[in-house]
Amino acid sequence: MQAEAGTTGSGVPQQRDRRRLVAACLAAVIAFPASLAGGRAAAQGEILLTLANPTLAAGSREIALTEADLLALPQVGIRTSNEFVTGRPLFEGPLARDVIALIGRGSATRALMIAANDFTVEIDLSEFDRYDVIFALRQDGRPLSRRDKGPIWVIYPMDDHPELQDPKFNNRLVWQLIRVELR
Amino acid sequence: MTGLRTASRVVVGVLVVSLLGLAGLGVTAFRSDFRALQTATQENIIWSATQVEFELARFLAALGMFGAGVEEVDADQVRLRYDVLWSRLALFDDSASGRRLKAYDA
Repeated sequence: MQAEAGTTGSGVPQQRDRRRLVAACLAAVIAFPASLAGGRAAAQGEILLTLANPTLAAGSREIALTEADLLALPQVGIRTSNEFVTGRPLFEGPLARDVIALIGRGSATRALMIAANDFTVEIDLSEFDRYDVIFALRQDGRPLSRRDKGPIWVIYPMDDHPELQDPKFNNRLVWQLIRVELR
Repeated sequence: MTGLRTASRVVVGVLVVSLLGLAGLGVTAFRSDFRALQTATQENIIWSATQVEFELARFLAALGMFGAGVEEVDADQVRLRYDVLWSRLALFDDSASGRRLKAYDA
């Protein structure tokens, strides 16, 4: 009985500490305005995105892209709502199909999108042809930081196409995108 | 006889109308349940809360290993886990889930 009481006694404060830490983090996030909570922007020359395509017969099967590489592509603006933002912010970044063209599709038909939080989703490449999906780098002119769904957030033009408002497309709004594997 | 026939017609009529009414109510109830279910799927508060717990555990593990001098974990990895944890918490401030949680407070 005593041993049991001892175990419970040491477990509860630990749990309480964790709850306190979560509460402190929550309080910090809520207390700071979004501009302060942004975290640092991507450093120059830092690799933001890796593209891999094992279906290519020859040439580079994996390329690493910096912010400059992504900004060198034509930038497209999309004003849209989604369930993770308030209102209709302006998102800007290169088209997904333009980024993927940098490595080439080969015989690939699908793309596995991988985020920094290890979230993954597989998307049919034809969707990037049908819709102007962008790899957003900016929201309302502000660079997306890692603490705010950046540096790359996959954005679908949901307000322009009613069919994109289906809940299944919420899973494709991959934030903190770091790697795309074609297959 | 004619009176009886008229009465039975009235009864059948009432039955048909009631059945149609019930069917209509059923469809309305089903549609509102379906809509509620769709909203619940979209907002996913439990998923978001679980992800915070998960990322907190990953951050604490990375921090612990960095503090203990484990070679595989450098400061950049600890920063990455912290940023990901922060982004998970920030979601509660500006998202459909966050707005719904705030509505409970009001």
